[in-house]
Amino acid sequence: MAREKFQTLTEQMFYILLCLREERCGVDVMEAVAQLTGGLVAIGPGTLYTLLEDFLREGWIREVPTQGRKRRYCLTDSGEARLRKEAERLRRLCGDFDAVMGQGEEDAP
Amino acid sequence: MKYTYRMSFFRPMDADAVERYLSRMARKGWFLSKTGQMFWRFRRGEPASLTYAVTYFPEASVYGGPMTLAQQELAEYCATAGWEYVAQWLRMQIYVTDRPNPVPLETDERQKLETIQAVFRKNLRVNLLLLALYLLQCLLQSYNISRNLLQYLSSPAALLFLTIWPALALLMTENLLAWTLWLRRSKRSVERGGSCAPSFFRLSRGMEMGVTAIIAVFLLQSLWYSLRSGRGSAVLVGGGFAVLLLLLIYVPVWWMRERGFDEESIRNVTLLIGGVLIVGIIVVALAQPTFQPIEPAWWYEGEEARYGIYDDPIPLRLEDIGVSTEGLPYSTFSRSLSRSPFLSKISADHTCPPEEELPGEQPYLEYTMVHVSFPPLYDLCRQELPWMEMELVEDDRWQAEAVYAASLSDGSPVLLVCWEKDLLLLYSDLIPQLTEEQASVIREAVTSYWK
Repeated sequence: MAREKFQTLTEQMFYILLCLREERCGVDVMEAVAQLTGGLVAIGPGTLYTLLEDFLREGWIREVPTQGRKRRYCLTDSGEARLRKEAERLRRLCGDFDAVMGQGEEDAP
Repeated sequence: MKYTYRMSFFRPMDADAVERYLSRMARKGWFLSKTGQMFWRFRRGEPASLTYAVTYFPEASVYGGPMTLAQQELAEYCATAGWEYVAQWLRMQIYVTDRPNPVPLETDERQKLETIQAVFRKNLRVNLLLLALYLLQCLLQSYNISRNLLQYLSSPAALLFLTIWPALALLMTENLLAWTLWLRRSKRSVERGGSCAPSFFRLSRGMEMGVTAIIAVFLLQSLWYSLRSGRGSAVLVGGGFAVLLLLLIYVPVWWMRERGFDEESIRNVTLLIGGVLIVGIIVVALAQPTFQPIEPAWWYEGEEARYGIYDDPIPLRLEDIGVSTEGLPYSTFSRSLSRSPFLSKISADHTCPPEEELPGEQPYLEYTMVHVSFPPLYDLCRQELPWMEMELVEDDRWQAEAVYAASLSDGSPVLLVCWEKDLLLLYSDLIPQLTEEQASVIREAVTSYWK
């Protein structure tokens, strides 16, 4: 199920991974995603917690040793590769969109 | 501070129903403060419009207890989004917020469904094990019933257990089916981009309430009829024993939960205590004789043996039909009585010294009387009461609806007399010479005894 689940990333998965290019704790991730997307993408705390655990299991993120009680995470190489693959997929989608719609716009009177 | 307790009929997949219920209670001024397995405690306050939300935590202990570090981490995320932790129930985490448009706890339905599936998988093994246990009990009961139907139907305690096990099996089956159906519907919906399916809370609650009510009725009838049959002390001892068993299991669980022991340790200790108790009960039961005779009123020292003489109040004695027992060294009267809302049954006998003690055959009266209070059971009782083949005979002495006769292997006569609501299975060497008047006395004794 996990493999199937991560074939494409949801918006929330994408932004969590993106924000973890910098070492952060879960609370920071929520705030960073909200800031980065201007509040357009909201991640529920329950969803965030579960996704972080899933990403740890997949090896896309890792825990960073800290002094305090709060767990901090950062992206791993395989996580970054997955993120880049997703970005490439999205770029391809946008490229297809531009090609079709751009054509349509040129044809339009 | 004022509190109220409400019974919880929720199941693990009833998140939507829990959220609605708690918000409704808050609007009435009742705020959830503590959850128990069966009862939830609400604190009185000013009515408020609050939003409750539920998220699942598969690693949470079903026994509750202090929050783990992982749960604290989740609570921190929730607090950042404006949600305040309220309580945990089974593997459900309950949060509340007063914000008008809060970010939902779960924003990814697929993720949510997977978490709930993980909870389901965690519970599945225990639930299947319980279902197997309930079905095994049902099977054992069916076997016992087939061996002694009348005893079951007339025993309030047997009727109670007759209700409990099938009810539990039914509820568990419904629970597992509802889970499976809900998961399937939710999966289909989520795959199409929708949200998890609504739970079957109304149906589940209706069933649970119905079954609880039925068990409560049977429990009350069991207590009431046991007390009426003069077994009040047995009920008290049995009830006390049941409470003691529950305390022996519950107190250590409560103690460990309060001290933050993990779920596995608590479960192991519970299983250990349960196992020790079961073995203890079996050992005690085996050490006791299976049948404990009731102490007789007095003992008759005969030439050949010692006889226990009973003086139970029986509905019909030899003297009642004009048979004198004067001059005999003793008469013994014994009975066993069982009574339920469906039928009442009494087996009694009036016997005199046997031939070894006194030359010549002495009169005897042995009988079982059944009063059927639930008419659909009448035919069944008539078939089940005699344990031998009996033949329908014409016998006007009894003014009965039907009379059946048979003979035992030693030639002793047996009669089954059927009146409108009463049955009498009579063993007596007096049967052939009973007059119409004597039969009338017996009929009166049988039909008026339960009034």
